[in-house]
Amino acid sequence: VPTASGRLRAKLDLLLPAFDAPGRLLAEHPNARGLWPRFLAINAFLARETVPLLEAALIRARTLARDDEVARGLVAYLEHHIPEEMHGDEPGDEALHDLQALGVDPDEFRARPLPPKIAELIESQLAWIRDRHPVAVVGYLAIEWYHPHPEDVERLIEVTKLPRAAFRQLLLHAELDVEHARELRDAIDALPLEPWHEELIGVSGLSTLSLLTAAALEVVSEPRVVRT
Amino acid sequence: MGKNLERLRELKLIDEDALTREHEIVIELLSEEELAVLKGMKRLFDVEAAVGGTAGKPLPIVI
Repeated sequence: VPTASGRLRAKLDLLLPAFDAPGRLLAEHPNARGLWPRFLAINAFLARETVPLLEAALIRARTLARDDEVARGLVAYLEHHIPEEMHGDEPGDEALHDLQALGVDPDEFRARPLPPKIAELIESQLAWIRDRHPVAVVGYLAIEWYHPHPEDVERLIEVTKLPRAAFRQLLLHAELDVEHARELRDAIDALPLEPWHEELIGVSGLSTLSLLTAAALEVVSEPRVVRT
Repeated sequence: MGKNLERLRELKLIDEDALTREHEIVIELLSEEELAVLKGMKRLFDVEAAVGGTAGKPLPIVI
């Protein structure tokens, strides 16, 4: 594979059978309507944490940038990308609005602690940014390559019979992430990555897909309906 | 058979029906740390045939 983005994509594609499973199980689940708010909560937690995570990577990259060409390239990419991830006045606003459409109190949701798998995901990213190199966050962002398609979201709306307002974030990303995915690919290929950078990005990306799969499987494997 | 593929097979993580030559090549390119993440899936969720193959329906999770 001639490009760094292609090599990363090939590694992450190995996990598609696992990554595919929760979405398929949700669409086929007899209680998809009851489970959707918990999927949406995962999205809202990620939306809440992503901008602060990217900002941590940006701060670290700026610190290294003087003597580190990869860090310099990362600064330019993150300065452009972070505003695109805001989606509202505060990080995660749009996902909160979707939860609100299902009757969730935004203030109550803001006070909730991260679920363990999402906490593990964010904490491992912060540790790699701090202790190894901020380019690790590129592996986290690679989830944008696996965004849902509009027809998948429409199918979920149909299956759950929930208001369309509870799917605005997903519908938006089904469109937006086509461009975000292309920008990420171009950014990776513009960085002068050495093999150890690529390995770190690979570990970060594989870990992200694994932990998100695990978090989502917890939702679809529990038949009970919990509070949203 | 490569060493990495052998180790994932022992854990029953390989989707044998869908495994292609391209998957085998990529698996052998994985570092020890990357391989450890794949093996760690056994800790995160009990699923077999999680590696290799193709996906049909992306997870409805976005960042």
